[in-house]
Parts: sequence; structure tokens; C-alpha cells
Amino acid sequence: MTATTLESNIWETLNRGRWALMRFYAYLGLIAGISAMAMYAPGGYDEDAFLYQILSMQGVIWGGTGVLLGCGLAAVGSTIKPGLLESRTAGNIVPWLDGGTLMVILACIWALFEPAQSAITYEDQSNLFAGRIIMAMNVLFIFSAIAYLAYLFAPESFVGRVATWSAYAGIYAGGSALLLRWHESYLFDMDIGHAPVANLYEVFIMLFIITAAVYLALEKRYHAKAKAMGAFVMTLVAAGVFYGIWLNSIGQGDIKPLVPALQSYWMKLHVPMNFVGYGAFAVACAAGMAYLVRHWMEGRNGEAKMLKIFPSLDQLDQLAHKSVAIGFPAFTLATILGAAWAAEAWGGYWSWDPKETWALIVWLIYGAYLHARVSHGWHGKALAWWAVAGFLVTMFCFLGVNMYLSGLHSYGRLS
Amino acid sequence: MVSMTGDSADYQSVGLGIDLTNPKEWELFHAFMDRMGKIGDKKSENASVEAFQEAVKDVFGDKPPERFENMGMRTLNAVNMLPQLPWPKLPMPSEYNQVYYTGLQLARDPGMNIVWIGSAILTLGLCIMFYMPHRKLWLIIRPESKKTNIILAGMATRNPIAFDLAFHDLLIKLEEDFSKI
Repeated sequence: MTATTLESNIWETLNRGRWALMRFYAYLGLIAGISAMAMYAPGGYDEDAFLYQILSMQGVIWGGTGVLLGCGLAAVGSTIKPGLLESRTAGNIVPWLDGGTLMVILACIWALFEPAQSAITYEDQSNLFAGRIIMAMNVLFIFSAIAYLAYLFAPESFVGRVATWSAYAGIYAGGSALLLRWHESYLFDMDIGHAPVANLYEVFIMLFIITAAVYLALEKRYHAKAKAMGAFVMTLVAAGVFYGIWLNSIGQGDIKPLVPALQSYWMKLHVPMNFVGYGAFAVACAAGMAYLVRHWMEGRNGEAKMLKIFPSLDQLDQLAHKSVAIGFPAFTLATILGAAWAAEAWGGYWSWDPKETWALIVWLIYGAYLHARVSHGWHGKALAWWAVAGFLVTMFCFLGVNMYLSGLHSYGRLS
Repeated sequence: MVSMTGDSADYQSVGLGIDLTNPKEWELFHAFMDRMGKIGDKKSENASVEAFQEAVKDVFGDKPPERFENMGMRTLNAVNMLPQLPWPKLPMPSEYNQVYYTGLQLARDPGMNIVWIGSAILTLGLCIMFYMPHRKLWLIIRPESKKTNIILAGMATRNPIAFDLAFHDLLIKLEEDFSKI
């Protein structure tokens, strides 16, 4: 037995059956426990130090109880109904949660490398450690994009593996750096501290991570067949990385105190959920572009070498649909959460703020995409163009509204 | 305040020279500005004087108060000076009482729970609409003398593309399984 098959067997065991189910329910229990702490615990939810509330003894007790209850539920459930062990939901979702746990562990390790408290000043944030990890993420993502592009012209499996692994490394670097930033924001002053989803720079990093993660999930599912599409996804990400570097160079990457309107737990739900939508739409756009490129190459010269490693037109069509299918419910939920937040903070569910109007446009575009496909059987070139155009509108909703239009969402703009 | 060089960092304050403690003087200044605005392009000496007289009439009627001359001079000077200042300029009162206020908005929404339920149903409906397969399959097994005739048929109202694939896979599996018998 070779090392690879042994390794994959361990993964198979861990991500399937009893182990996966136990872990799945343990994570669910953890989330439920922390949510219960925020809602019902005596200290309740402390906006100024929620991170440390989770990491304190109180968090350990509430979260740990949740984990134990979850494990117990899984054990009892799988005994009563062994069919649960075959469920694919647990096996599909657990790797994502494991990845999240790994990011938390990495962030804890990075925290050891922070400069001494006396060296940390709000005025000069350049000595903070997260900045270096974000720079590593930038390099990894750009390298990954180059490797994916190289794979198009030199389809060696080694090049493909390097591309995939550097994308994974970039995701973990970015995710752990964001978590570390959450911790760093408290180092200046407990009042400044906030979740790292508050300005354009931070959400950009989150967008890269989610885009790359959605793509890698699809790549894993479709094995190497989807790899040529990576060139399109990671090029989009790399373009964003340059924008992020520019943002940082003009001082937009600094941690700033949060305006009162944003000091709410809703921000921690609404913003990440939105970016799950945006990231998935970015992958759909890349699949659409790959479709159009393949279509064009087939029309011009049916025997181009590159066509061999491209997924077939049908597969690209499916990949675009899958990504939209991931993004659309996330975007719907994000909009609903946003409306709930607006009802609480501004007194009305919907105030036709430019951002809201554009979010509605984006929602309608992708709703129409799914409707045309699912109910009317549209597919192929028209929908590939649709996915590309839809992403341009999404980008306007994300960036254009912040930069060119004013309104209630104006804290997302450059300052 | 006025920026002599046009640079935003270079603002200097320039006084209008009118006595703001007298509300009538401020009124006169405004009335004069108003009249000047109305005469438009006829910028002769006479027109300005007429405008000033009109403004005095607007504010005081037919009898100007005592010691009007100083007030009139100050107003004339201020209005004459304004067009000579370079742009950009910012009008700034040098002394004023800041009045603070707070706007409070109250919203009461007894139907919030219904909105939550509606949102949940909306999300659920979307999932049913777009992600649940709506499929019908028929497998007809009919004995025909010595053979058995098997017909696999299917229909999907939603997502026909995915159904084509699934049906194809099913057909191939069926054929493989039967070939083993």
C-alpha cells in the first residue's frame, strides 16, 4: 500500500460515517452554545469584547456544553437510526468547519509573534504581525494564479498540484490573518476592537478567501477536470489582490474605530454572509468566462491543445450553475439579515438606500438566472454571458456603490 | 473666510465690516444684495444707487432711522467688497450661539415575528423551487410471451438539464445490472 492511498484512507475515515457525524454535531453544538451564551448568559453579549468572551472561561463552559450535547445527540441519534451515518451532509460540511478550526489555531500561533504591548501604537500599525501574513497571502494568491495559468499551457500534474496547494495556503494565511486582526484591534484599546469585517480592505481579503474556497470545493468535487477553470478564478482573485495592496498603500488597511451604527452583532452575520454570495458569484463568472473561451476556441480551431484540459462545455455550464446555486441562498439570507438589522438600527426594513437597491438588482439577476435555467431549461452561451454580466453588476454593487454613490451604507467608502 | 491663492490650505478671514448686533443692519445688507441681484447686467453707478434706495425702502419704509449714514456706508462697503474677493470663499459667522438638538425616531413593529416567518418561508420556497428535484420516473415491466419488456421513462418539470444527466446515469446502471443476470 502506497503512502497516498493510506493517506486518503485516513481522510475517508475521518470525513465519513461516525467520525464525521460526531464532529458535525460537535461543531453545531459549539455554534449553538456560543449563540446561546450571546443571547442568554448573565454577561450577555458584550459588543466591545465578544472575541474574548468566546475565549474566556464563560465561552469555554457554554461552548463546551454545546459540544458535549452535540456529541451526545450524534451518538444517540446514530444508535437509534444507523441511516444517519450514511448522511452526506455531515461529510460535505465538516471539512469546511475543520478548515475554520485550523484557521483559529493558526491565528493563536501567530498571536505569539506580536510585538510587545509597549511597541504597539495606533498611529503606526506597520509592526503588527497580521500585515505580514496578509502579504504572504498576497504572494501565495498571485503565485497560485500564475501556476494555474501555467497549467493551461503546460498541463503537468505537478504544476496543477502546486497551483492548488498554494491556493489552499493562501486561504489559510488570509483567514488566520483576519482572525489575528480581530485580536490586534483590541491591542490598541478595548473600545476600538471589532470583528475584522468593518472596512473595504478587510472585506476584500474575505472575498478572496471565499472565492478561492468555493472554487477549491468545486475542484475537489470534480477532481482535476475543473482545474483549467482555476486560471480564471485565481486571475480574478489576483486582480483583487493588487487592489488590496493599493488600498493598504494609501493607508486604508489600518484598523480604525468602528462608527456607532456598526457596533452590533448583526455586522458579524450580515457582512460575511454577503461575501459568501459575492465569492460564489465570482466563481460563476469565472466558469462563464471559461465557457466562452472554450466556445470561442472550438469555433476557431477544434483541435487546440488547450481544449484537452478544459472541462467540457456541459461541465462548465454545470459549474457555473453550482456556484450560483451556492451563492444565491447565501445572498438571500444576507439580504434578509440586512433587513432585520435595518429594522433594528434605522427603524425600517427597507429604505431604498443605493446599496439596498443594487443588492435587489443583483438578487433579481441571479434569481432570473436560476429561473431561466431551472424552469425554462436555458443553458449554454446565453447563461455564460449572464453569469459574467451578473458579476459585473455584483462588483458595482460592492465597489461602485461605495465609491460613487452615497447613502446609509456610506461607511464602506474610502476615507 | 477667503483663500487668496485659491488653495484650500490658505484660508484667511475677511470681515464684512457690518454691525451684526443690529438686526436691521443685517436685514438691510440682505435687502441690498437682493436688489443688486435683480438689476442683473445693468451695472451702472446709477443702478446701484437706485438698488440701495430700494433696499432702504424695503427695510425701513419711508423714514430711515437716526444715525443711518454709518449703517448705510458699512452696508455699501460690504456689498462692494464681496465681488472683489477671489474665489473660493466660505461665509462664516465669527460669533454665534451653537444650538444643539437631538432627533429621536421611534419605531414600533408588532408584526416583526410575522416578517421573520415570512422570510423563513421565502427562503424555504426558494430552496424547494430551485434545489429540490421535481421528477417522475416510471419503470414498466411487462411480460411478452417468452421475453420481458422493460421500459424506463421519466419526466421533469424543473431543471431538465440535470435530469438528463441523472436519467442517463440511471439507464446505464440499469443496463449494466441487467447484463449481469
